[in-house]
Amino acid sequence: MLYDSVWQNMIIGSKVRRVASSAMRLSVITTLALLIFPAFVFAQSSASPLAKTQSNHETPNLTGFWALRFDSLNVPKAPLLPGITQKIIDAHYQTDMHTVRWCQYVGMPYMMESQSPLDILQGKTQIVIVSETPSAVRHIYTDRNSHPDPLTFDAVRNGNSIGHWEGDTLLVDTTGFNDQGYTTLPGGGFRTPTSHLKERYRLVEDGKELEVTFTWEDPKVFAKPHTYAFRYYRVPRGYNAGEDFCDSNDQERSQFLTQPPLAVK
Amino acid sequence: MKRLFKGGASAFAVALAVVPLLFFTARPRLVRAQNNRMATGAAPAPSIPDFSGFWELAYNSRHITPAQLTPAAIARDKKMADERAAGKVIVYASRWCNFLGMPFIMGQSPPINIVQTHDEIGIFSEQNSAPRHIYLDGRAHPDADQFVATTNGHSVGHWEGSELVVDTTNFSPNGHPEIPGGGFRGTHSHLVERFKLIDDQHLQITFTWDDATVFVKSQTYYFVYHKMPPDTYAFEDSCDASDAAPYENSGGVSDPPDQ
Repeated sequence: MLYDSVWQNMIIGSKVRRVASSAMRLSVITTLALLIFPAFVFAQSSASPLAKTQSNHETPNLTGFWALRFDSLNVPKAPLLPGITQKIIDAHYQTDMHTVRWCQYVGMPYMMESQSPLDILQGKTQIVIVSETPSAVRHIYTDRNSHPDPLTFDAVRNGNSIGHWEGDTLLVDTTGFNDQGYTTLPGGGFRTPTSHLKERYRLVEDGKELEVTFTWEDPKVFAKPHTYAFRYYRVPRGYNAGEDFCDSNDQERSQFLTQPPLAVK
Repeated sequence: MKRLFKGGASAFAVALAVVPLLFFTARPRLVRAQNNRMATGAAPAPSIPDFSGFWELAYNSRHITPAQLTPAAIARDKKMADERAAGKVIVYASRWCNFLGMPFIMGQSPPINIVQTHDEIGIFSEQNSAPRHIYLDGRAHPDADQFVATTNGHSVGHWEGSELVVDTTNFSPNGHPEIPGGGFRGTHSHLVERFKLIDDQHLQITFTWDDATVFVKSQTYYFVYHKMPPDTYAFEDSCDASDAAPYENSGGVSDPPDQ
């Protein structure tokens, strides 16, 4: 019965169907099977990277190592409030340099500008972004839709991030920042405890590139939201993550970072 | 017979048309899917255990036996004990905000966070440390001249039934290298870990260290981690080496690890 049903539903032309006796049908099926089966097997073996990873969701998969290139940054000048003077900007720069000098965690957004590839691991309930630069990892929780109560949450350099998918785009919302670490933002301005970051992650170019759009809002820093975008390039499989080991007691390193460079004569 | 041949020929012709069609329609879809969707990671397949989540140690979680050390390792441990007896109780790596690394980060009181994908497992500590990357894609360890040794080493894993076996080499001696039970991590160290879910709330990891310069025989111990509630979120360790005040009355800082 199943045989007949399959047979009737195949689009193979009335001529073949008309001549098919039972023996004939068997012969034709055998021939077809012999020809199609290897193709089916080939298709399956080609599909194995997909099959082995098919999971309980059909969202895009950002997992992998991603690197910035010379043409990765689209950063306009930030629309700063008139009260953000050069003196304030310089003070934040000094804080940034202090962070680097003393091997402190840099945090957001500097960790996203790492000169080494970022590692993104997309798990079932969270997406983690790992930088080789000294920094806590970013945890983007995809299993919850609210930030923890500020009364019980200790603000951190990376803030608290929650994310959800809208079609092929991951939307990430981050609050709960502190003012420590490397706070200067691309384009100008800086992160503060009143900062609010919204990000959009989207795979482009058949998944070879990852476009991340950052929009910062902060009533104490920006006259209007400050938006810029990075485009990361997928690093070929096999990359081994390194570790930017940092010793703040390394005096030679400290001198390099804190003394004015000698002019070239 | 003629009809039979005729039918077979028709089927052959159809198959010739269908096979390339199958190939050319399936392959681009697969390539796109490989790049865009689920090809390079995603959540683990249902048949293998899922270690994802936050895990913490309890007061009775650590099952450690004393290590059998080489004379050189005994001398080193004695030197450190003498330093502590002399008042140098602050570990160099802690004082100067160095990455602490393995095995310290697996044995501390804050929870570890495990994120598992098909090709990689990440283990994240709230302590001042680089994360652990455990590659599951079948790669080998890199040659020592192509990889700068790290405090966490280079880890590759594979599944043996329901157990994850992780092999780690390429360690540096930096950070906090002391191994539970005695001895220390160094450039010759080799670690094998076996991850096993006892039930959905308990994860056992058995650690076995080998290093001919440190151990007379392999040093094995195991920890049992307890799963934390699903709404747990990570904190962030804040280390500020420029603030000397906490150490003013400490009696001193230990020497940096031998290189």
